[in-house]
Amino acid sequence: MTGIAKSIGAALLLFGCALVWADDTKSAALDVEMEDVKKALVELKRDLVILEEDLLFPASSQVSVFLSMDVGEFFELDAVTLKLNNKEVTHHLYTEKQVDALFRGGVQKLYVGNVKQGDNRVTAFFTGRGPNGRDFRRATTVEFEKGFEPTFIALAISDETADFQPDFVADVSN
Amino acid sequence: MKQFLCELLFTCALAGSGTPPIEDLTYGTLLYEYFQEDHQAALLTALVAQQQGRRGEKQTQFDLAAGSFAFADGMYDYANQTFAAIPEGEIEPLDQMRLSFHLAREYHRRQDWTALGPQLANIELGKSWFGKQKLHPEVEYMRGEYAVHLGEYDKAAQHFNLMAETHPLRAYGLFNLGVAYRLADQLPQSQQTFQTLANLPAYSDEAYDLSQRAKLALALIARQQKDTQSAETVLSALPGEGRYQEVAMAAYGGLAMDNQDYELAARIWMTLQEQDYWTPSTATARLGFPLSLEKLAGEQRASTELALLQFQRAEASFMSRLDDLTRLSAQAEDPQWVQSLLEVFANDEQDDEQMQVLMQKWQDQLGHTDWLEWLATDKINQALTQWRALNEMETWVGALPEKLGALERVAAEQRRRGEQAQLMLQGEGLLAKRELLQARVNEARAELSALRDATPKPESAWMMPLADPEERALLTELGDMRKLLVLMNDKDRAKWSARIGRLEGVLFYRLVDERAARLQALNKTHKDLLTVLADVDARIERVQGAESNFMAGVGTDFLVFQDRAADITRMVNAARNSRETLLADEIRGRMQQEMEQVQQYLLVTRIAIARATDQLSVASTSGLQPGGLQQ
Repeated sequence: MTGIAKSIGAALLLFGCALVWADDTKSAALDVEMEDVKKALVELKRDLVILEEDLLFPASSQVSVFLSMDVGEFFELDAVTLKLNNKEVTHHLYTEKQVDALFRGGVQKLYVGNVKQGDNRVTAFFTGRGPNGRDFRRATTVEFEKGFEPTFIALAISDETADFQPDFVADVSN
Repeated sequence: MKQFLCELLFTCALAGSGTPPIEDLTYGTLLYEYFQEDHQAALLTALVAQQQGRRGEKQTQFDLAAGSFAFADGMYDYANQTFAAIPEGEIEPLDQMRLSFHLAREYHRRQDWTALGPQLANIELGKSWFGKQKLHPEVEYMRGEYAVHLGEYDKAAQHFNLMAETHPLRAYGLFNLGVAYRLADQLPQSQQTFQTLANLPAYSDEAYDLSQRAKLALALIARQQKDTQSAETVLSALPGEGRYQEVAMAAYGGLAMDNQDYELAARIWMTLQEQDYWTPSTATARLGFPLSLEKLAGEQRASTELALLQFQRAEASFMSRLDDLTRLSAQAEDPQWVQSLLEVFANDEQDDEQMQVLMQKWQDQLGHTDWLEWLATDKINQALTQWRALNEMETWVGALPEKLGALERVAAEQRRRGEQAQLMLQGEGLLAKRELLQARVNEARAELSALRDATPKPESAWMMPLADPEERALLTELGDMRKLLVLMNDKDRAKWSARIGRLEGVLFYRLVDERAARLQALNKTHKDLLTVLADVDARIERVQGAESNFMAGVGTDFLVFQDRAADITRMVNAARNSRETLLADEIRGRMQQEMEQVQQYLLVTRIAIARATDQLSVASTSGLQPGGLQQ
């Protein structure tokens, strides 16, 4: 009888071990082994990303478009469509998590591609819900002259407190 | 507004007016990935930015972020090295606090309590604008855990209570605190802590699991305090399904035995033993049921024959289980068998149908899914997770040659174009034409300089460079006419000489009047020529550079990439083998453990059979009925 009670208790004695404190030498060695693989892999990926960028998007033709959001109380983002020289190059539909990431200060690398040297034009169309939950669609355009250095275009959604409307801005840096 | 959302972990990239510099955009990109819990992508972004020199003045922030992402991805040494490389003296107080936070996480993970304390003490978040103390849930969790380690349980409880009720870490903190109180024999406090945990809403699977365990713990403590009524209340309130249902039933059966309520115990054991699968609880029930019948027979409420029959059934059941385990132990020696078992966990969780087929296959071999319990340890869970990650790595590395091949073709095409451009530079004399342009620029510069310094004279040498093409033609024509004067008689020569002189004079004074404007125009022409020349130079340089870069750099890199990929494949295979070995060892160990348990139950059962047989034998020789009931 006592034996049974003990065995029943033993099942519950699992509680005696803390849930998050567990390690031993063997698993530490496995951790080190795993970390070595991960490190080698992430370094390979890093170099591959740089190689890809150098090959596919040389500085003299590279253009990158970033999107950020400041507050965003007057606009609930659903999607962005990007046109480069009147040709649609990307369309992104946002998940709740992605919108939250933007809302918290993240910046999305929306597009990276190539453009010709000289004059170019980027237009971004924002779709979502504006003040009072109404459907909202707005566009912003920026023109730029492509030089030899990479071009970065920053799209920003912010709140215009003066008229309680969202504001969409595009800036270029060469 | 956004500052309130900024976390202790990182600096937030705040949108401002004007174009943000590339380091801000890159930092924001890694935050975007981090906020979506894609730590690998965020780490990669940080490393690429470092390699490309796109971190600007934000090197410390990037390092803090990279270390934190590496930490979240299980690269603890890398994270530690990254944090250690940040020069403490050169960073701002806020970043110093962030560094302390990241180091505290590392020390907490390593359970290095001595090092953890000072780092936690460095974190002081201050107060909000309306005077409320700012808090970070993970800091409070670590402070609580640290207090538990120091034995300051009440202080630990205070820290855990500062966390949001549904924060994922709070449930763990409360559970560990409840365990600590219990180990310290402070049962009322332990009970109170487990009660708090048991009352938490089931906001996640983990929280629900912990609250169920808390309820079981409450029952156990109640039993320990001889408060059987409370234990019974708690156990009977547990839901009739879920991971701990059988454990709860087994505990309930044990409680009934403690209370000498053998009829209730028999009912519980009977229900539990009727399950057609094997778990520690159902195994206990197989023994508990005849034992409770034996007790009932002692009270004349059941027959010894019935108890004996059930003991014999239990014996058969234990022997059958031992046979199964012996067979499985032999199979577990086969690496193929272990590897195919691991396929269950390597399967894409989204593919339910395929998973069902695999589960069925293993259910047929191992019986029910009770074998999953063998794998339900932190160590195994981690090994399985890593094994799955290693498989994904292998898939990625396996696809790399194709990708490298495509990039190599792009490089070859660009190299071809580079070489073509180089040929064009040479073959079409572009370099020679560029030299001509350079000569024109030099000439224009020299002329401009001479004109600026020269005193105006009605002479061709001064007038020609300033004149426009029409004026230049006129000056040339007048010069030619003057040469013809020698052929005229004296009278005509004087007349025509004066006339030519007048015309040249008109032109001269016009040039003197317009000298400043014309010099300015000449200057502009010179500048335009310089711009054209710079543009031509840049293009020539780019084409020449591209050619040499493709020949020297990228060509070599592809070979290096292939070598590195091969190295990683070797590392992945070795790491996967280690995990397969660990899993096999663990399965064998857990099987051995269960075999020992079953053997113990078998021994107890056989003793009980002998006891019951003796009783029946004595009763039959003495003519007495051994149980209270007629058979």
